[in-house]
Amino acid sequence: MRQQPTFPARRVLVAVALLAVACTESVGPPPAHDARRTPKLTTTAAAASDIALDQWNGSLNESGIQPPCSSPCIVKGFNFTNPHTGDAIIATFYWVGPPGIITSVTDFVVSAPNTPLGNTYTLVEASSANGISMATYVATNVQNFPSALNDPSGAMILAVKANLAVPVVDGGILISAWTGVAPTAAQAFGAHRSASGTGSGATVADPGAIPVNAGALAYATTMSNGLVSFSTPAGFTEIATQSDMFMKTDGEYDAEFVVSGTAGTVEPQWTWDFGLLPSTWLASVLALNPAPPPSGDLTVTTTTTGPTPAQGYTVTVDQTSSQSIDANGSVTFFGLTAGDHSVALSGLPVNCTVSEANPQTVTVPSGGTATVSFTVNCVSTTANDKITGGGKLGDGRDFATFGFQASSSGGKIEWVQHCDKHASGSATCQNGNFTFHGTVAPGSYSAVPDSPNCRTWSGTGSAKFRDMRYKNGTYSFTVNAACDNGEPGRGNDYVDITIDDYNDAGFLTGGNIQLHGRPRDGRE
Amino acid sequence: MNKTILLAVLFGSLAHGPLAAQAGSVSGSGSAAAVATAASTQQFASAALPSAGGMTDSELASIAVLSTVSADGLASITTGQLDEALVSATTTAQAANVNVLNGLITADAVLAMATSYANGVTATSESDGSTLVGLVVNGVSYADVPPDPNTQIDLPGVGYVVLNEQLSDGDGVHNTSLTVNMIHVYLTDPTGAPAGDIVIGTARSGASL
Repeated sequence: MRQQPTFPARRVLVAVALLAVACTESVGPPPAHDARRTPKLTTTAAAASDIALDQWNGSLNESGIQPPCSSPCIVKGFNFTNPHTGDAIIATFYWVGPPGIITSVTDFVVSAPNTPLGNTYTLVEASSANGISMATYVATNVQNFPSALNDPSGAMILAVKANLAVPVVDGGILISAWTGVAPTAAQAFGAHRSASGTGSGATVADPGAIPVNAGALAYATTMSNGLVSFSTPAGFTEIATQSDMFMKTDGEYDAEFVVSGTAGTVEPQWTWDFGLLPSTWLASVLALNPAPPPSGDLTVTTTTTGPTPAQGYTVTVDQTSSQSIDANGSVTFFGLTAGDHSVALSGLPVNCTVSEANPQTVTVPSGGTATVSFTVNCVSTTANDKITGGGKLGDGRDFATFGFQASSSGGKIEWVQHCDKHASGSATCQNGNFTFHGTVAPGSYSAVPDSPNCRTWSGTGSAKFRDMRYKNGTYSFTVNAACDNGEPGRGNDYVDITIDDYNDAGFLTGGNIQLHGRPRDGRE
Repeated sequence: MNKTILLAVLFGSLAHGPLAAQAGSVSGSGSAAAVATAASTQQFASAALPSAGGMTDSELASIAVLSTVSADGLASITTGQLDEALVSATTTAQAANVNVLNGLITADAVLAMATSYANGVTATSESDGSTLVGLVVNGVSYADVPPDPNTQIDLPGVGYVVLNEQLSDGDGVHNTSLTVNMIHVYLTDPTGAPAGDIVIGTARSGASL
């Protein structure tokens, strides 16, 4: 892309009455009186929440002390249409003179007298070499002005001003307002860097590469004391090119990552055609991150009927974020992305069920709170009986023998796992041969819901491993179910036990389980 | 006590004595291994069920009786319960890496199981679950299935062995009992007279109602 010089003769003066910045060259979007090319005002395919160029304006030829300033300044307004409140404003100041002379950057509404707006402009990048300087400031979430007002009178137009410690021979500004930028500086400011150089002939001005987050915008600008043509950076879109008798400037942006789901890097490069006489260039690039997606809160409430589980439950949103919740309680998930979310309730004892769908899908409103309720119904599992059993699970070379007696007051269990000495590789033989003696924890004995012939209990015990003695120790166990399904026990009765990472379950291949008090077919 | 009587008490033939016909009772006992000779009588990992039922267990990591028997992982568990409508008992007795009489008989695993039920109408016992794994007798290997009950094999110069020896009792209506000796070596002297017993895996159960 090749850009022809913009000569002073083509300058269009902006009325002093509008912005009180006379004798400056201005560029800006109002096209009716300005033949300069106007950049695209929005990025291609950008969604409403994506970063997009809102308004921009610029000028050069500022020097001395000019209205509305009472001291040296560089100033420009967004005539004739204000940005939107909440926008981020990038203000790049260019001048012929030493660096570090900007004492502050402020904004105001061009009323009489000027009304300060109080937005904070933060210096992001500055560069200087061989008597030319530039500095880029950014304000986020700008407020306190008539949003998007079109005001041909200019009285209510937002203007940005750099207050200078000393007058400059020549100064200029490029201001641009961007919607969709994160509202705080900490969130909004991405990587940035600058560089400078001097050369003759075709000279590349390159501030260097910066990383750009997904959804972020890259802004780049250059200036030179060589009033020559240049080619603009590949992949960038021009905001404005300005030129006067002392300098030439260009502002560009790259929105490729605004609509991208991935991050990347950018490295804008201008090629200045300096000719035979050496000239100096400055270049800066910065990234602005997008506003986080709109969010809301989610409150989950549980109501439990029947015997209440003391340990409560667990609520999980989108299978990733979990919180504990009381059996009758509520918890709130803050800052969820607005939209649909999956909410699941887990950790329910086997005697409890959820009335509603589980998980549920809920829509979290932007800036609001969605609510989800789970009704948990628990049934009593109290069992005042007792159970006794002994027998065998499995067959062949991998089998287990066991015996137990259990009731609400306690009991004991012996579990002996036999494995083929040549290592069968079965799931139950991962730990080889072992013997386990367990003690039933009082109170752990209960009925298995919907299985009247089955009981469950748990406790701790000691295990002795014949092949892996280093594993000898104390382990927790749970008999998930021991079921008396009639006689003979072989082929009818069932047992399911977990000892730490060991689990065995199945119908008995020998032996019997007897639940005390269960009706029988014999003498009653 | 007469030697024959002693062995019978140990290994089941007189285990229960007269079974009560009407009053409910439960019994069970097991021994992973036992050796009875003229010089001594030893039982290893033996457990006996209390008359009120419940559970009893015993285990030993290993045993070694010089030139007679060695084994690992010996365990016996006996459980039983008296209910108004059912009396049941199950006993398991097991041992691994069994070596009898310096390799004359070896087995990777021996499990004796006996289960008895009595519900006032019928009384039955079964040995289901009993197994012999990797059995070799006098150089002959056997499949990993329980031999037919009371399979007898001569052991020249030693005596004979009965595999899956089953001794049952009861009327089949109100009472029943079963003793399972998975490997029972009957030792004889040069004249053929009994000289001792070696039993690997004895499980006994009894129920009456």
